[in-house]
Amino acid sequence: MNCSDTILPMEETIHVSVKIASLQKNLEKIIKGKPDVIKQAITTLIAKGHLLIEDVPGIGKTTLAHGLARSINCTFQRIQFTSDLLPSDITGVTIYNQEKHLFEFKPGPIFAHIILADEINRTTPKTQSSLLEAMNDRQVSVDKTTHPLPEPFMVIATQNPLEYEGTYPLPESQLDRFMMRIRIGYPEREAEKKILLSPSGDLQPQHLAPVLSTDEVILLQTMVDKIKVDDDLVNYILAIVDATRKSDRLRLGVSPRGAMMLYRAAQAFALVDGRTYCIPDDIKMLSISVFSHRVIQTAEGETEDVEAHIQEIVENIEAPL
Amino acid sequence: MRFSTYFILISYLMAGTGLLAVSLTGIISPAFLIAISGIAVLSFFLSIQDKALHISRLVWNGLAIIILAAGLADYLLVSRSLIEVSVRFLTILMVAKLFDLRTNRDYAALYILTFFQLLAASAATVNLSFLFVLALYILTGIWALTLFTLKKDWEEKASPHKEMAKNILGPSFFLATAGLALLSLIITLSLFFVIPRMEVGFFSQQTADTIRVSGFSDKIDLGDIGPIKLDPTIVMRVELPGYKASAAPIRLYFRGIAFDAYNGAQWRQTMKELAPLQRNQEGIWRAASDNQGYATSSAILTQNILLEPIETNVLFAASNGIGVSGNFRMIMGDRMGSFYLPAPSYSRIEYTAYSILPSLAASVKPKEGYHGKAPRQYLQVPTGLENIYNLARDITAGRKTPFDKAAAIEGYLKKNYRYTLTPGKGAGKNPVEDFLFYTKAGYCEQYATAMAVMLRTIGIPSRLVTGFLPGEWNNFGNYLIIRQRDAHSWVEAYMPGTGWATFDPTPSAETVGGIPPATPLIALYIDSIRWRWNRYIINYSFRDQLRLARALEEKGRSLLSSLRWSALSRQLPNVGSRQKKLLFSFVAPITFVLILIAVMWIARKSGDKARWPRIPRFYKDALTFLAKKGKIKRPGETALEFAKMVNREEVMALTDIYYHVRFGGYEPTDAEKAQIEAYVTTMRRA
Repeated sequence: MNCSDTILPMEETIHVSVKIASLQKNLEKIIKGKPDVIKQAITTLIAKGHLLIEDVPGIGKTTLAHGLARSINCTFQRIQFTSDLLPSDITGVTIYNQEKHLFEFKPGPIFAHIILADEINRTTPKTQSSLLEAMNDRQVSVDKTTHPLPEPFMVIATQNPLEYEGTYPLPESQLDRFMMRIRIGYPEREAEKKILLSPSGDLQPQHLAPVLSTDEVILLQTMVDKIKVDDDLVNYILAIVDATRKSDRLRLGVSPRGAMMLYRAAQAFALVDGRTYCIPDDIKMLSISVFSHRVIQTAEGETEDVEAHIQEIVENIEAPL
Repeated sequence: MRFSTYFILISYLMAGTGLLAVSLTGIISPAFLIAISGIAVLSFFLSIQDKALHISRLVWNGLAIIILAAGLADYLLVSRSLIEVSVRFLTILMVAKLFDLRTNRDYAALYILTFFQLLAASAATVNLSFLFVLALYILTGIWALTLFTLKKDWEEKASPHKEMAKNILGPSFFLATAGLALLSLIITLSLFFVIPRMEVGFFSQQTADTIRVSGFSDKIDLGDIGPIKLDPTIVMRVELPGYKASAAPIRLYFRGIAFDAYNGAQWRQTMKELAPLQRNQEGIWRAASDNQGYATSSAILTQNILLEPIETNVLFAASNGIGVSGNFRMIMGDRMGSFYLPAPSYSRIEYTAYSILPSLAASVKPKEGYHGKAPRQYLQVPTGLENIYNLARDITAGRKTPFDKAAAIEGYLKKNYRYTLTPGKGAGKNPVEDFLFYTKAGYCEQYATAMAVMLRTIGIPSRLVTGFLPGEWNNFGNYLIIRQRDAHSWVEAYMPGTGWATFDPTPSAETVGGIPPATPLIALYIDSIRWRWNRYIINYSFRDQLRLARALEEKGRSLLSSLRWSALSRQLPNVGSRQKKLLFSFVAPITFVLILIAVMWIARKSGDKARWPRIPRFYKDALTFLAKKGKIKRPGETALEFAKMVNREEVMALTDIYYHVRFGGYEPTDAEKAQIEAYVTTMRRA
């Protein structure tokens, strides 16, 4: 797993960090005072992951997703998940073309580079699971035909944690497919003041100019693989994963896929941070966003915040020196 | 040649030196040695060609246990000599290790084994060629450890070392290290010769004033001792190991010298030519006296004497002294059983005297007559002693043996004469007559002279002896304090068959009421501290080390024998010379300490360094420094979090570089190195 033999050349890294910095700057125009959230969103993008944003309404979930899509010169689709949404409403349908006397596949909204799955827990599990194949395999199968999805492809899902009425909590299998679950949280007072005082429309993602092409995103994604991860850091990841499995307050620990996701996320984050190598802090910080939605607390543990719990586990593991 | 080849070659050279050292001891039989060397050479060629036998660790560990068990059996059943077993065990273990050189730790273990081989050899051989082996060992040791360090460093930094080897391992490297080895050998040797660890304590205190003493020159005038009988100056302190005052209520006489010729006013030594004494195997100079009557097998009183610098070169010993030992080059003796230094000492000296107690000598029943064997010079008397002869004859009337006669005279003088330090002058023809018939009062000299003369008139050989009484017992240090005022003179009379016996006609101080004022307890206590300092610090010598070693050895042996089956130990003869055992009782504790250090070192390495072996030095130092300042990194904290916690610019910067080097795998550039230096300096100043 160690990629030390293919260390990134310095010049390339500088070029990349300029690109990423411009993306970051672009997003900061619409999401005020949340640089860490923006960084994690970009991390997910270049790690070829999918992002789940969970927070109360009005905090900027959709804005972030939309902004990210707008910043890249790519196609964007927003799917509003409702209880009557059908799988075919996402993937597309085959209809009969009377002129050609043929059944033709009409691609659904999922055939876009970035998908905003808004309020994903409002739809039925059946529809939710139609996303599964798309997220994991980057392809859609309709009527025995497989349709590849465009590259890059990223699903940004949002969900509202407080609404229990008429919601369908995402099954574990689906949650596991999201690289990260992040919470945006209320802005700081100063940031909120800026939001209030900004002229109307300025915070609209529609105003953002694209700063990256899809090709550039793909390039970034390939570069993530070359980020050096020291063997001690791999062991660090494994130690954290192991601790979640052994914790008596967790019913379900982190899966091997979770460990893989953290590894990749750490690589991507290092690149976002302008480094060619991972540091323990990448792993420690990301482990909360990457792991907290993958574990299930025991009945006693449920009273407390799962993020705080993961944090506590990580704090008790010796950081590599 | 590749670096690894160099490294293997030099490691094997070191192992070879270890084998050479072991071969000097003569413990390992030549055939076995040749076989072992053959195996070592074989393993060398195997490892040079990268064809090392890959045998599982388990096998080696099992083998080591078997070798250990064999060594134990060897010790308990065959050789019973710890050093022989150790040498064999070390040798076999080393050869086994040669086939198991995989990790750096294996090499370190090999070096440690060779070091122990050298240590064992140093204990078991007095061969001069050991010096050559030592030189070789230092040389190969420096090479091996240098290469080992280089190898380890390069491995830690994961940089290729094949090319670098060429630049470093040139002739200059070998020349410089050889020079270094030579230098350290010279220093070692000079230390060995300069530090007088064998014969003298490190500090021989030079005292400015010597104490004037009377009665120990070659002649003594009557009245010489009298004036000093009130002088409390301490002359010597005597420790009596194994002596229990309550068990043997005898009066000790610390004998100085004897006088054989009396001219009516003065005692003289006529046989004053001194001859060097013979030294026996235990380092004791035996008295060349005519004390032939005493069997050496009877109880011997050992006295450790700390003698203040005095004017005379006489060494004192309790009667009857049979020998002395100490840090002396030579001890002289006269024919009357006295001990002399070649010259008076100007510093405190410590020595041990061995004596046969007078009570034991007296208990031997003397035979009746001399049968013409009486030494004639001890019967010489001045003329005109008829009165004295008559008195002596009267006193001894009815007594048959010389011993009884002497005892009668002793008793008579004790009973009928008064002790005084100011006897005055009578109307006698000579001082003895004066004392016996007119003043009837005097002190030790008068008493002793009178008795000696009386004995001579009736044909019993006698002589006057000067020395010291035991003085005062110091309970704080369990030793005797002997002062000037304890100076005394008494009589020795020659008993047929048993030799010289001690008689003291002077009434003891207790009976005459002349008890000196008791020394205050605090003074005794202070004196005991002073004595301990002199005894255990200033005059700490090889003999004390030896004593300690013997005590340790005895303790160990009694422990061992209690563990062993008694039947087994009875059947087996005790092989192995005493010297070797003695030396090994030094080596064993040293070895133990070294093993302890090695274990601690390895434990520290594995606990700290092996955990994060690649942490750069500068960052580790910074962590240590911050820890000293109370800023300790929690294990769960990452370096960056820690730096943020410390919240100092230079620590942040250092952490940045550290991450870059440690996780980025970058070598710090010269500029960065300079930066590190600068940050470290700032950190230390803040």
